[in-house]
Amino acid sequence: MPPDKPDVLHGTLTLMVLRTLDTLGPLHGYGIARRIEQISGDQLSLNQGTLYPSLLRLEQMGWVKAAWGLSENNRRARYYTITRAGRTQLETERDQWARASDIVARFVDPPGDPA
Amino acid sequence: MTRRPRVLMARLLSLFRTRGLDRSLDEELQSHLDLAMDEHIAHGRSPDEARAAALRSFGSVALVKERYRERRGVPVLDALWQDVRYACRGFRRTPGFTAVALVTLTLAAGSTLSVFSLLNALVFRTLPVRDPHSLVQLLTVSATNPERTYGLTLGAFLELSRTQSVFSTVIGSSGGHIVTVDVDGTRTSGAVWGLTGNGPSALGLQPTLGRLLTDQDESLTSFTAEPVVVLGHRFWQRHFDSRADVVGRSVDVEGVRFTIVGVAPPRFAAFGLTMEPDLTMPLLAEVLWIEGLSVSELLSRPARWVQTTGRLKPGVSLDTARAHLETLWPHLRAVTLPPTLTVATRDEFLSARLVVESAAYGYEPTLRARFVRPLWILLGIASVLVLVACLNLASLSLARAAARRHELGVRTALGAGRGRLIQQGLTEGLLLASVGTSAGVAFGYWASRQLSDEILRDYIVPSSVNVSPDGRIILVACAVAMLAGTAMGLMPMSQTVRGGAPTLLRQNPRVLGGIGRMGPWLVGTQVALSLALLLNAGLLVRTVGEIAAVDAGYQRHGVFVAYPTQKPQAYKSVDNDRYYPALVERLGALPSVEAVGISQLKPAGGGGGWKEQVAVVGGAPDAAGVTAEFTPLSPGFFATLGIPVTQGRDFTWADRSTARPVAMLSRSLAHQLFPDVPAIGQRVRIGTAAHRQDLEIVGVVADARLYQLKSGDTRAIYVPSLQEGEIASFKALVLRAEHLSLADVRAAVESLGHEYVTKLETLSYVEERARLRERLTASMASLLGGLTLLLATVGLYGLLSYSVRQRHKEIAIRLALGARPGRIVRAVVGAGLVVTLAGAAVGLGVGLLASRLVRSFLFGVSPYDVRTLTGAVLLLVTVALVACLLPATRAARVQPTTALRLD
Repeated sequence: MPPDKPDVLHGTLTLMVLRTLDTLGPLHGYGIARRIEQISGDQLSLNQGTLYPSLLRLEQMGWVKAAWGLSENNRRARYYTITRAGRTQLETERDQWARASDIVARFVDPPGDPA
Repeated sequence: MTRRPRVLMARLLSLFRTRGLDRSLDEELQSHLDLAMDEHIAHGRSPDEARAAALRSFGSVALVKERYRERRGVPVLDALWQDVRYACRGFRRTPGFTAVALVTLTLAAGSTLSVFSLLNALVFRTLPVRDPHSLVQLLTVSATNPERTYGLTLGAFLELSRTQSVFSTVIGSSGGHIVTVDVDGTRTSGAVWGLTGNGPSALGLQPTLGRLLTDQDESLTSFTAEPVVVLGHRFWQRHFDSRADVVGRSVDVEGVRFTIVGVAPPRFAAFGLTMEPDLTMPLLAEVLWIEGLSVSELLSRPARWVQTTGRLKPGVSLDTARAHLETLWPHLRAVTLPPTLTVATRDEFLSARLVVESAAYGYEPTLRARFVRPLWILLGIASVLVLVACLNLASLSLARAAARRHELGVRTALGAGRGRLIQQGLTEGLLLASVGTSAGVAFGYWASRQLSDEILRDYIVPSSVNVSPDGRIILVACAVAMLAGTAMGLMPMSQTVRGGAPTLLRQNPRVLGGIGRMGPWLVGTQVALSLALLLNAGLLVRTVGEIAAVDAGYQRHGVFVAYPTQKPQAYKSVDNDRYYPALVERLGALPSVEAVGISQLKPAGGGGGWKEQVAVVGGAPDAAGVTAEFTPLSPGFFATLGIPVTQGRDFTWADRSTARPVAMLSRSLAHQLFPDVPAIGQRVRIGTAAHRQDLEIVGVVADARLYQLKSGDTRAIYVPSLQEGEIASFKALVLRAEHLSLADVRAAVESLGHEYVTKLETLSYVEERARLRERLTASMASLLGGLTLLLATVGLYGLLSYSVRQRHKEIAIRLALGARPGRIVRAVVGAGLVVTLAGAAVGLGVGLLASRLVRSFLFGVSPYDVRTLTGAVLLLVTVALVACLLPATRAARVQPTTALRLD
């Protein structure tokens, strides 16, 4: 029995979406969801629908912009693109995440303590 | 977070495009599922499996949409908008309730607001000038006649301006004279106002056109060279068609050519509240040109004609100013003593007191004295009406909510919290209340205009009070709306949703739902309040009747009154000894005229008379004397009014200015002064005026109440007009005739060339107008009381109808078991009467308490008057009985078989 997939940490969804868009360029909602699933190696149980409220928030913040377009198999889909402000936010969140995990790491594996 | 405003903006904007955005979201989610399905199909699944897999990994579509929407819009506003739309749907479904609620609110709120608008105009509104609270008015009051207020003499005004130190500006004004104005050949009349040049700038006034008066216009050289005048706004609209080219044109005022320099701001009524001056000119110009005095006459004129207003220096309080001026006053008075005064009048002059008051609220003493008290009474009554209306609407809403119980039960079962339902109910109530109250504001404005027009109808120049809605009125309207909205929305909903879904969904509730317990209390309170109002309205109506029934001592039918206005320039050359008899003769010569008389005071107008101290000559020299009504009049006055001369003779034209001074007494005064001897031939003195110190009594007349009908004092003394030294400009002509036309009277008066007439009234009309205050209060109180009774009765009817409908089956069973219909009727009527009588008992108590408050307004009827009491109670019980009988008879006609069959 595979272990239960942990829920995606709340604040990191923004980071993951922005990173995805930054790396892969403009993508529709399904594409973003699949990409996140792939990268996490199917370790995350993400209800794909929960992506959409987050995408709305990113849109409202001005970190992404959205437009209708055609997918590869000629389906109409709404494509999201990262903006310059979004890139700045991505950097900020990367730093924050790095610092946060650093601090937690010091507790979990404090330097000088035998593992 | 600096992103907040951007997010908020996005959320607010999305409110306007919800439908489009919803569609877009649907499309997007659908496209997501399609893409997912494509991928699954590409991996070899069947379409059905692909769909199932796609949906599974997506999660709940409905939940996603809800979360999305929550984030997209502003949830509070969304909920509110939803509630509003739901409420409107509900109102459309129950048009009867909606209509009744709106009409009730419009009438109740409108009445309150109309009364409050008038009160606002008279009591709360400040003058529309810059910083009204720093304006102070100075009045003088004579020791003998303290009710009459005057201004300052010109000398005193000038001296005061020079020596005072508490005001930054001292403004002098004088006004109200009616003059003839020639506009391009058309003759019209207008009210002229004189103002010192510093006035407009001190008051912060802005002209509509051109400019207003300045200090330069005030100098003697200036206005002899080119007299200037400023037009009043309304005058400009009416007589110049609001043309912009009036500046520089000229008008003839009393034959003197004036140049128009500008138009005053709209709605500017000088220092008062009602009369807008038609023409404003420099203060001295008004007297010199219009009244025709010379400069030296002007400076030594003893009349206290300058209305003085000062603006306090910053930091100086009213009390400080008052103290300062009061110390200044005695010296000021002595130094500016007019040289032409006689010894007696000099004493009176030197005893005049200075009164210093705030001018922030304007100078309108007569109007206020007459109407402020009645308006407060009416406001009290209207507030009770609003209260009853709210109670009524509450019970209506309770019944309506009870009918929607099932729907509320479903909503509760589906997850709506109690708070949400109450919020929805409150929104509904406030929405309806807001619409109704807004209509009430409009109705109230219209009603207050009608009232103000009625009150000011007889002013010589068209006047009006400013009743337009301002902050205070909106505040009162909002308070009413909140009260009504809470009564209609909160109370019923909180009553009905008690008990949760199971109670609400029950098919045949045994209890009357929400209305059962509260209903009788609500109706009972309404009945009580309406009886209290009816009682007081009845007392007010009786008061009017009692005043009308007072025997005034003269015959009012068939008497006409006219008030001629002098042509000011022509006045100086009049020899009254010749003019008065000529005037009476010309008028007497008119075809239907039987008798003519002249009085220097307005009879039957309800205004105060003129009181003087009368003492016997030869008695103790410093005896105070008896206070009596003093009226100078002409021969023929008594005959015209049908007041019999009981001893001696009436005045004749031989009693002229050069003849021996004479007087006539009323019977009661004669009795008091000369109880043992006949009054004829005795001598009296009146007040302190030199020409009235030794008068011979030539006649005694029957008692008559010429001025105050309500007063019991009939002591009066009369002197011939011709012997009354300086005859004041006011004159009232009384004529006894079967019928009379204004044209005839006009022709007769104007043929002599000194005066003209603009109005002719009957004495009955004058009396009626004098009673306006009482009549208006009584009719408004009756109207409001009637409305309240109507509401209470409808409430009673509704309560009984509802209960009959709820107990349909029970009644049917009773009838089927053999009960007689009469018994059912009696039971229903009995239930209704219990509520009515209980309410009436409380209402009686409340009404009697209230009537003590209006006691000072009543006349000829006690606050505990039994006739009025029983009348009010009978009216209430009768109307209530009818209201009970209708549902009762309906109950008795229930068909047992049909009723029991329907389940």
